[in-house]
Amino acid sequence: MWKAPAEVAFAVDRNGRGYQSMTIRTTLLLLTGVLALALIVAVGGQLVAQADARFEAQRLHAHDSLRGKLTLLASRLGEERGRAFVMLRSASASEGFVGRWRAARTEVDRAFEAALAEAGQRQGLLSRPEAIRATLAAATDVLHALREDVDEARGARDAPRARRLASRWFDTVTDVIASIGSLRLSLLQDAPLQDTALATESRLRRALGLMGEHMGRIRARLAAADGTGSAAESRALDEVVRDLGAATLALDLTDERQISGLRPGVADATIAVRKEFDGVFKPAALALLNALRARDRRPVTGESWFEAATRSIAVVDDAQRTLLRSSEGRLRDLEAAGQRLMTMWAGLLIAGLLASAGVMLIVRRRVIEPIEELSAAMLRLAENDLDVKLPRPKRRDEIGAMQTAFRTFKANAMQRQRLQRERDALNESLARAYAQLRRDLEAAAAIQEALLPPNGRLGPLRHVGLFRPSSVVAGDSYNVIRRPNGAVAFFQIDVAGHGAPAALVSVASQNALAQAALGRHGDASLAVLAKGINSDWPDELPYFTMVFGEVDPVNGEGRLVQAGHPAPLIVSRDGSRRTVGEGGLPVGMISEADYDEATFRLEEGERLILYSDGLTEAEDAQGRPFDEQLPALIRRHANADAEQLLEAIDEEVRRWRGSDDLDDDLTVLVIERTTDREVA
Amino acid sequence: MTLNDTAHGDVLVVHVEDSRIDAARAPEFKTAMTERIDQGHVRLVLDLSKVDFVDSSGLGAIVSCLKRIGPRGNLAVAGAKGAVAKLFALTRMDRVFPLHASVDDALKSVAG
Repeated sequence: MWKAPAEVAFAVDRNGRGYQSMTIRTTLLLLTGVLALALIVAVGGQLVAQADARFEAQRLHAHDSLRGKLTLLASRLGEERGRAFVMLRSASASEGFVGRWRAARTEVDRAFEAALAEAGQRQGLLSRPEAIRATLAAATDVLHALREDVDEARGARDAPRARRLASRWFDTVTDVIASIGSLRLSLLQDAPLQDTALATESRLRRALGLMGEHMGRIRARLAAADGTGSAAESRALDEVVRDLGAATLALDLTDERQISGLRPGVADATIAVRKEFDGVFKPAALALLNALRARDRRPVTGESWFEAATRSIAVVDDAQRTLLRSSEGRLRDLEAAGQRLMTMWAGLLIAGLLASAGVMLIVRRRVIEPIEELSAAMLRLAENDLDVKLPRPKRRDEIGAMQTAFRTFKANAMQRQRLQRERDALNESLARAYAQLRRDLEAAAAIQEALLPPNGRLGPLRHVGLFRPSSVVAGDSYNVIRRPNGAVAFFQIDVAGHGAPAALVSVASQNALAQAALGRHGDASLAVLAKGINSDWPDELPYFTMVFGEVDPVNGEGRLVQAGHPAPLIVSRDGSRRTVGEGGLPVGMISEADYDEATFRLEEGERLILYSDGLTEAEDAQGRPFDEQLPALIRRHANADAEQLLEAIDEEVRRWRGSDDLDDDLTVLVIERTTDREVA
Repeated sequence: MTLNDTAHGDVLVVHVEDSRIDAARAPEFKTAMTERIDQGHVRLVLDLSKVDFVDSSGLGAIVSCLKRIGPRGNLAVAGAKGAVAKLFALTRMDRVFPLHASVDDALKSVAG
């Protein structure tokens, strides 16, 4: 069970807020569960209904079956009643008749036992098993008591007593048969038949039952009649007429309309009953009845009438049995159908449960688990955990595609991480190298700045410098040196290009110029000196521009060589200015170049201003050079200190540029010839 | 760096179409010019009429072209004006190569 981390991660988002944690797992399992439950409820409901229907069919069967047994019992009882009645009325009975009477008695006992056994066996299905048993037991008791009386009377050979007993016997057994009929009716009421065919068969059975009973009474009474014409005999014959009418009525209940639609066997049996009654029983009974009424000689003996009537009643019993079998068959079919439906629904329920379980299992295996695994892996990957593993995708569906995508993500992430590490390492070494270079450059800048002369005074000449490299180190440089003969030499250099190479060349050229300034003999020409430096300058080094000159601090007489450098300015206190020099080739550009020497005179209070083109070419945002601003600026500060002038230049250039950055190194050197008063 | 050439007999006129030849563009300019010289164009007129600004690197590049041509041919510069003309004056480039007001003037001198 590895799911827990993924679910925890899902339940809380990045801000720590909990949100609806309905995971795919919960959703899918819930859906499948609900479907399975719906299936169980629907199929289960059907199953319960089918079980009820099956039970109902069994109950109908039980009630109907018992009714069948009772019908046969009533028929048997009718025969025993008839035979005993005939024997009690007539003193002489053939041995065959007595034998059949005993057999009928045994048959009745068996029928009772069969009915009781049926009631006991189907006890659970019967609505009132106790009442049924009680009724049957009471009937048995009454019958047994009567039988004892009958046997006693026969044993006593007392004819009058037997004749008296005969009518009590007849009436009591008839009551017993009626009570059994009532029991049949109440059984029918307990389990009414809804099926049309069954109901029809049931009605037919009832009609045949009634018919059999009435025929039984006619059989007994006509067999026992002796043709004496007594009042009792006349009443008995009236009863026979009523029974004949009742039997005919009952037969009418089995007419064509009733039997249409029943099974052929059943219909045939019913037709046979009609034939027997109308064709045999009824004419014979009427003939006998009429003979008795007319007190004619009996056309047949009582016993032979009895046996003939019994044969007719047997036809009714046969029809009854056929009907019972048919009903039994129908009920069995109903029961079997109920059983089949129940089995089918039970099968459906099991199949549904298996299918639900299968769906759950498949959804879990094929969808939920791979998605959870993927999601957990994704979350770990999102947290840069590249150790996360996922099985190699074997599937060609969406989940397989997702797994492939995940592996790609992971491969990319690993590559990114490796590249990042390499970049980091590179950046670190670059940063170290840069820091080292920066330190070196800053050290070089400190050295370069230390080479510049500090602002100061050489006799009446005061010199002030402004030095602003465009990067850490500069290609510009300048110096002011007092020569052994008292003259003050000065120069300003601007090496082509800027940065470290220009700075190195700048130091070299400064050194060369300082050596030249100090080592020069007396008044040797500066032009010759410049030509010497130029021709000695190595071809491989960038060229530089310069102003190289000297001035006599006493009288202000000076001269200079201008080599590609902006022409120096001489500015008076009143703001007027003039330039010195006619231009010249930069040093190191053309080795055979010649240079001109320009002379000037620096009056007291006048300033000689040397500057590199970084000043005049400093551009503003629109690309305009600072050039044209310079004259006015110098004029405005004609009376100010040289330091103030340089500060103003610095400030104005910054403002012009709109920033502190420069494209080129900027250098200004001011040499001022002070008055004697100022010297003091 | 855009350079357009027009041939006039054996003289190649190179028109500089950019407004500046400064530290950023000078190496490219030098390479392009060197290619032409090495292809045998040793009589050149450099038309700077569209150029507003040349710095020390640009100047160095032009001079190095001249050095590359050496005694085989010559280089004339035409149309320099404003800051460019001032720079040439300051550095006395008239002593190094001929400066002409127009390409026509330059062609005459180079051809001559």
